[in-house]
Amino acid sequence: MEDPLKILPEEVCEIIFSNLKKDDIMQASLVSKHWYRITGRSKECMNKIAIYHAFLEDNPETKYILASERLYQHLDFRNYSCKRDTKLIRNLRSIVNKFAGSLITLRSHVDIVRTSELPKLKELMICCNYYYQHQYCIEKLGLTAKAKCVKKLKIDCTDLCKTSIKVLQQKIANLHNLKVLNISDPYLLDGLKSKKFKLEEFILNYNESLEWIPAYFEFFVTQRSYLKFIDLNMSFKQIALFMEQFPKLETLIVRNEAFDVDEMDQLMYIENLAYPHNDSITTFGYYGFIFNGETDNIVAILPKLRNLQKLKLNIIDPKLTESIISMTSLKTVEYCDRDDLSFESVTRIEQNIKLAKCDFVHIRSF
Amino acid sequence: MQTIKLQSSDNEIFECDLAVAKCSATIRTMLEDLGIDENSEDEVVPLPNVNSAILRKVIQFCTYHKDDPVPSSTDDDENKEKRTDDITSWDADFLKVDQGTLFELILAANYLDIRSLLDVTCKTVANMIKGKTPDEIRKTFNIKNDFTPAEEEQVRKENTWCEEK
Repeated sequence: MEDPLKILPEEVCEIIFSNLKKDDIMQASLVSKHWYRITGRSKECMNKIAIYHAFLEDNPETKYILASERLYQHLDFRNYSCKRDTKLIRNLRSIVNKFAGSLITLRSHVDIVRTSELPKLKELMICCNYYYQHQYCIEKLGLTAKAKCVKKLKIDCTDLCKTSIKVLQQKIANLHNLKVLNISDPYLLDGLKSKKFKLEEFILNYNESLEWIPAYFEFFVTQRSYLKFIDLNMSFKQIALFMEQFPKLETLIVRNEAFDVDEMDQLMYIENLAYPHNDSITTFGYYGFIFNGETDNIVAILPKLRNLQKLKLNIIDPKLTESIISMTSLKTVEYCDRDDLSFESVTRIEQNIKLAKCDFVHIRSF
Repeated sequence: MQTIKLQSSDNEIFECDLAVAKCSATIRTMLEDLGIDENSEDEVVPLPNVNSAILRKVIQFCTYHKDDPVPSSTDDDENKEKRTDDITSWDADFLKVDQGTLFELILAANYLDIRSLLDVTCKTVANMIKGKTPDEIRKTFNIKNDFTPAEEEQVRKENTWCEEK
């Protein structure tokens, strides 16, 4: 009997391979030339695989990937070493160009993708670092009209220039998801004050730029009809504003993990702050650096979140858990361990969680 | 009970329950296109791509599953990881057939557009691939390795670039 997959239509082979995981797909690709071709052309198979370039020294030679007949959809070069290795940069750029027609997600440093046209790209993660000059920034990335389908953009950049942001604003009209990681100058976000964007998610993981929130709350207001997910540093007063003014907001993660005294001043709780009622937020997270008043504020916030289903904390005490007992919508409390709790406290917390009939997830990460 | 006559590629006529035949989207469309209604007792639906042995098995499958709810597909389902360990014992027994019959059933399920039969037969083939080395897969399906050593090395080296997404 001849290879049975040769008698099946390609779309049926696709259904068979859709049931396999990455390791089995890799093994199947080594069976014969026919199996290599059909797995390599299969969208289902290629959707489970990313080409990954981790460490310069350990990587296999690029010639093997450049000789590929597969239609890769995902490239991940975010950990590529930032040394000025022009040969490697040229090779990685060739890889992007080779698979440009099928790429859906790309995670890469700026200097690799600037010449590519990526008609199917939906998610782009840009990594930059201070070794590079501004001319290497986003306007050089080839974010032309071809990038209109990009809906998710993540920027990990310590050298993002104003022009770059302007290009983003002009070129990626369908942007739904923006993650800004490690941005050094919050004022660069000035260009994002545009209603052209429809941002549903905003994450800023940078602890040293706490003063930017008041200045740029205006930007968030322009996105108030879209924002569903916020994860950033903010004061208790700003939490109140997000609760009040963002009707689509489903997840609010607050990070107040400042270690500097001046920064802590900006995070200070406001006693008896009147928090508004909110029906949209279903997940609330608070990751704080403990000082007086934080617990009181969280205790004041929680009853106002009338549809809260998930609570994520890295501070916890009996008073806080007492406040959740009456929250009927709450399903999960996730506690990321930071404190050394006394035995009495642990017992009371466990009792309170039990009374609240919630799942309790204890992550011991510190 | 309303019945319908189906004619296999080797001209055998099968009389089966109309509801059973309508498990096939292809037959449903043919009935509409040919204008065959439920009272057309002498009409025969020709199925030139399915032989009698396979058609008998297909009718057996559809008779057992005719009252199953129609699965709906959503974006969530498409993104969900597919399982292959959820084949019912009846289906597993039904598919204890030689490999030639299994692949003919896949072709028939595809031609007749019977999604549940196509899914379960494809899962069965996937289970024959899972956890096996290339050589074991070749032995299972009697496939000749047509890679040259250099070509095989190329694919192995290429695979080292690949990670789970």
